[in-house]
Amino acid sequence: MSMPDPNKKLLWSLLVVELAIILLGIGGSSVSETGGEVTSKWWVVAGVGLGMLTVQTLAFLYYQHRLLKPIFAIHRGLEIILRTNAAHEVDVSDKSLLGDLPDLLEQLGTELGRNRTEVATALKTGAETTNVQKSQLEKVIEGLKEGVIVCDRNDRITLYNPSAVTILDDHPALGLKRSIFDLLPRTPIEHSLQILHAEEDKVQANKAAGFVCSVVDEEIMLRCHLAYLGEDENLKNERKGFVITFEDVTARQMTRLKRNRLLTSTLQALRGPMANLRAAAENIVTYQDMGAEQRIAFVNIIQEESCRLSAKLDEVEKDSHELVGDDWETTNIYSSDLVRSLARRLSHKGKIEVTMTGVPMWMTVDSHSLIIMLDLLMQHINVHQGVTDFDLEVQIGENTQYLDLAWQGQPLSSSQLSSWRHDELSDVVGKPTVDEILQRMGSEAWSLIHPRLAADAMVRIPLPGSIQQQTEPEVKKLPPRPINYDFSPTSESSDDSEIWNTPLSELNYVVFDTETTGLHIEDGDQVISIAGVRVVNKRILSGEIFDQLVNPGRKIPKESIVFHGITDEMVKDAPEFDEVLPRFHSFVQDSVLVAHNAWFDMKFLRSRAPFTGLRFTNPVLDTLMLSVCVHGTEVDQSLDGIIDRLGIDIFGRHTALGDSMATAKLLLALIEMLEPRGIITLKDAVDSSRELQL
Amino acid sequence: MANSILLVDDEPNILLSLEFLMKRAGYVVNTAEDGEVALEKIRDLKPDLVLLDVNMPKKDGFEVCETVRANPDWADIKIIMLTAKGREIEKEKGLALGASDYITKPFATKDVIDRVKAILEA
Repeated sequence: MSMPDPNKKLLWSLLVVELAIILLGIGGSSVSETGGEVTSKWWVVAGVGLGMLTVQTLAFLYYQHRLLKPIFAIHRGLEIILRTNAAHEVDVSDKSLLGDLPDLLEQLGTELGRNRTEVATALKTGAETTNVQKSQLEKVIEGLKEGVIVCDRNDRITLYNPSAVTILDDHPALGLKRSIFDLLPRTPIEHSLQILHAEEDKVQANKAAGFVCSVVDEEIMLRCHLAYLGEDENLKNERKGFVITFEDVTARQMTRLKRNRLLTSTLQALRGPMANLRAAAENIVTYQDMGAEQRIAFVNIIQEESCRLSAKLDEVEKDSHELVGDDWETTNIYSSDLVRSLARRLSHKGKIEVTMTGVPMWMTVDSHSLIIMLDLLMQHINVHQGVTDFDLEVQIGENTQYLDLAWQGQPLSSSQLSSWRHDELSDVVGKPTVDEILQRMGSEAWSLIHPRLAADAMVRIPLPGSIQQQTEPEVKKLPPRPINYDFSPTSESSDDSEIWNTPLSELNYVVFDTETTGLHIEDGDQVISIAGVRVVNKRILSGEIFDQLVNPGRKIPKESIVFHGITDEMVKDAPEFDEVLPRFHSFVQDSVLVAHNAWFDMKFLRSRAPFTGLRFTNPVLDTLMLSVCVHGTEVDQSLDGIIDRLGIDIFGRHTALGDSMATAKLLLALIEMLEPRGIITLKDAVDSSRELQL
Repeated sequence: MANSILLVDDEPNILLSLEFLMKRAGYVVNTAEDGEVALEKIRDLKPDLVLLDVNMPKKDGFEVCETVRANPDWADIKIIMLTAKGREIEKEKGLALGASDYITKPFATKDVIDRVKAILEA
């Protein structure tokens, strides 16, 4: 431990000055006086001076050791406690004059340390709670049947849920940071925002505005609710972010429309034959004296018009069946889940058990009503026959699925079944009877001896309209596409300096891939598949994809099929490239386009510009070029080669979508590797790629 | 001997036409206006074929059909269901409960005669 410099200087200066005074005193006396007494007197003065000097020095050294040093130690300790380590032990000699000050200081440090830990823990717990709440909220939004889209104050989409994707039929304009107005019409949204703005100052203001609109470029009708996000007082007079929730009312609108049309056309169609019938019949009855020929004419009219009426009735009946059950709430449910829910419901009552038999399959039913209905049915059978164990099987018939409830015993009689059919489902809105539910489902119910198990009886409930196709897509392993190097310019983008100076990690990308009939566009090769995935904020948004087969308008060469697995049969009903391009263009918007060996794909993309008028002027990045920047040309630069080297694992490779996903992963890996090489912005990346070409 | 037919329907107007039609076709005809009367007449008369309306008061056609099928003595009695509804599901239910055929109202009279004939001669 040492003193700071200024103190040392002070001490030494003091000693020097005192010594100088003493020496001056001695010198002065020896010059002016020569007497022995006088001389000895001066020596006494000098001796006292020296003595004082010594005492002073000793006193100083004593205080330095007992007081100054401990104070400096405390000063340093305080700094450490404040800035870095609150548990720091202040190193002060026991003989210091500071008493218990160092101990108090240490206690203060300990206290501070504890407070700091508490604050840190509280912050951490707070953050964890927030995260849990956030993920719970995410789950809620994800699970909602309604579509949810959240927009920021610039009308850009910042969040949407899976239902939004489904309801909007995977609309290409649905994506993060995209303008809501590419998706939904501007007028109703702005109108709603104005209404909410005007309502804001009222005490009992409406918190949401509702409207019905159609989706841009689609025949989807939505019923929407719009509400402001949050209640930030500071933003009172500014535009705020907002959330739109919506449901698809297309089917409901269509049903209503169909129903109205059916009613109108039925009334009109019946009026004619009715009038003819009535007139002819009344003539015969009123004028019985008419001639035989006249009578036959009228009778023929009656016969003809009856036939017309019959035919019309059949027609109406057929149409009306399509409408029954249309607005009935159905959901997709796996049959084993249905049985599990039913078993859970029964387990509370504790006497009836149900077992799932047969192969489970997907059903489209109003599962809630169905479960209650089955519960009631089993209770009836239990009352009549004392049965407690049931088997439930879903199977596919010719045109419909059947739900078969089987048990050991006798079939139910019609009267037993009909007493069940008059039961009310008290848990269901409107308390419909089983019979009404069956009608809504377009179904029936009957009881028989089990066709396979003679000792068993069963109730069969057909489920019309519940059949679903559930085939998994086939995964094929295909050899890679041959690689082409071409160092032509990678972008013809307009000079938008902001985007060029944006770091690669902050850009919006669409990473895409095409499959083609061959490698030579000049020889008439065409695109047969195009896919892309959006990458925003270093996240691959696998929910925001574009995936489309394309009809090339020519035969797909056999030798190319080994590369992409796409056959003529697969593309025969697909749209042509010129129809697909506008949708892809709208999917891409102003993102940076990324592809592996991008010149190849861009060539096909740009080739149709003269015919479609669509120019892709976006900046383009080529993962092949970027990979060369990182690894050089010596190593294998095919997508497969790089992916193997970087350990990127992707399903469904060698489809346009699978390769887009792989390229997207590659892009993210490359951005990481380019950063330490000083390639930070889009401009850096494009310049580096250009340098390679020179 | 001519085949006997029991016509079951709660609408007298249609009974009148069907009775006329079947008699002209040479069958012995009886009628019943609801399900309970129908079962009594089936017991008494043991007809070869019952033309059975589905929607009736008291006992509906499905119940009558089921009762007939549950009795082994009546296994030879053929049943054709008649109904105002044209739903596929009800046809399936009728056939599942043991009816031989199914005719939807309104029908062509010739069609009824053809089907009755086909089933009795089968």
